[in-house]
Amino acid sequence: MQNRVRRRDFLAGVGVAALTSRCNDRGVPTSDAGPATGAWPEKSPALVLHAERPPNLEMPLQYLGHDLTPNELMFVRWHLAGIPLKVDLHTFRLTVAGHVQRPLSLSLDEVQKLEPVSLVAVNQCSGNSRALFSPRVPGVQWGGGALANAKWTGVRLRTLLERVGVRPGARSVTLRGLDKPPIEGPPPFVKSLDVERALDPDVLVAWAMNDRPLPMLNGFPLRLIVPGWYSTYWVKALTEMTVLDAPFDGFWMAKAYRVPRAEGADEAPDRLAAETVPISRMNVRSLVVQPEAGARVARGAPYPMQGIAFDGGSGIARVEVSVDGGVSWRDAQLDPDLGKYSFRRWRLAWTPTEPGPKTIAVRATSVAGEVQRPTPQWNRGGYMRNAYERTPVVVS
Amino acid sequence: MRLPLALPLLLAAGCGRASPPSPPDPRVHTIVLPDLAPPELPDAPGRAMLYAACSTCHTPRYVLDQPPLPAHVWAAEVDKMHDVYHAPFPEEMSAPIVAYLVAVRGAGD
Ligand code: HEC
Repeated sequence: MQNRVRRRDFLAGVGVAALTSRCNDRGVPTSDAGPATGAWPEKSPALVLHAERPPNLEMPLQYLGHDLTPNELMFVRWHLAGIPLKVDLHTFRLTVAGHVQRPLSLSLDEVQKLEPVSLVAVNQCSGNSRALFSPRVPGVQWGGGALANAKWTGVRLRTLLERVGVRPGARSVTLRGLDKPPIEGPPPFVKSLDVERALDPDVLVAWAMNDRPLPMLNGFPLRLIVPGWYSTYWVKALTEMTVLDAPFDGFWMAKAYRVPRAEGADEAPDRLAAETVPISRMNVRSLVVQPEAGARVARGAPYPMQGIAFDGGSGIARVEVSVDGGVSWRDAQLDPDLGKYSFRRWRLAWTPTEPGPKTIAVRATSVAGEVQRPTPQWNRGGYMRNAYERTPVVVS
Repeated sequence: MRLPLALPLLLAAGCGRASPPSPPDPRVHTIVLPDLAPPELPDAPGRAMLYAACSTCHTPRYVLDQPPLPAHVWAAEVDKMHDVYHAPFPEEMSAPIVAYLVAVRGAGD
């Protein structure tokens, strides 16, 4: 219902966009006219609108059918409405300074001359599936589509830190993008990693997503990639890093994006956890992509069920599927491994024998031995959901 | 309402400079966001106040995106906007705004 209202608003809005003639700042007409196509620059009209200022756009779940999410379909998440609408590569610099021997300021060309590394990694918002929390919690009401998988290419953050020479006693690295609060008041979006995490050779400063430049709305020209960790650390349009000799206590680390320390990030609405920690590694999760919720499945014919599983960087060892709501389980086949940080596609043929409503459930086990939880956790931020997801279908 | 195809082009042609635009510099990346109209929020007492106080930093659609929430959760949200994000609305506006939010997106308490 709510979804439909949003879509209608969205389409109405696109109509308005088509009527307004606009030019970019060099006087070049930019025609976003016509159907929803092109309304969000470099993005697909299939994305669902949560907010237009700042842009928050979700990918419909059916597109999890792609092993590598096309750039146009990757979800969009900004916190502060002062997002970069123009990046001038003549003047853009990535700086690394602070508790270092030799501060550094690099153009994009200079960054791209450093040794490139590529890896495939899941990009998932901390609050993905927040709309499924019960009781409901405030925040962007993502269904399941603040989730994507891509091949990222860039330079190791470690290489940059080696070049600047981190001084003894360094504790954390702050990460800041080109986005700004629209007015004075809200704290600028600055995140941080502990130095040990920042030195992990898989943490990248990426300039390419699926071998193409990042769309502006996904962080052109450079984005931090912290494989295995939620995307709150994947700072977009990364421009400023500062090494500190203390932990960083900025708002977006010390007050926001915190989860209960307890196992599973669990707490109760009437007994909130006294102790919280910054969110970090993703827990193990799996989703059904086909059939979609509410689909009709034909009796007596094999139906090719499939979906995805991923975790925080150990890889997926096993995926089990139930077609009786979680009473009995069968092992799914796993497609070839694209890397330990990637989606792993699972497949299982199902030949339903009796008509009527059925519930498909799926659960994954990571290489590290972590299994999904049978019942959802709850926390005030709506973070880290990883219960078995259940997909109702009708056999007919 | 559908526009004939040529109309957006005509409109687009009307913008910019007298001289033809120079070819875009590939090293300058720009995007133009769709100019979506602000959402129509449900009519209830306090709506005008909400538009006034809650449209500066982000779209008031943030409110429409929320599920029904208990009054104490809405009160905490409005306090957060005021005290933590320094939303520039006078404290006296908080109560009527919370009442509006509870009326349009409330969930008991
Ligand atoms: C001074 C700037 C500012 C003003 C004014 C403001 N907000 Fe916000 N609001 C924010 C910021 C910053 C966020 C967090 C954005 C994000 O995470 O995407 C936010 C987020 C929200 C959210 C999403 C839930 C959450 O807590 O993150 C809601 C709902 C919301 N605001 C409602 C309101 C209402 C209602 C008002 C008017 C009383 C208001 N805002 C005025 C800055 C502001």
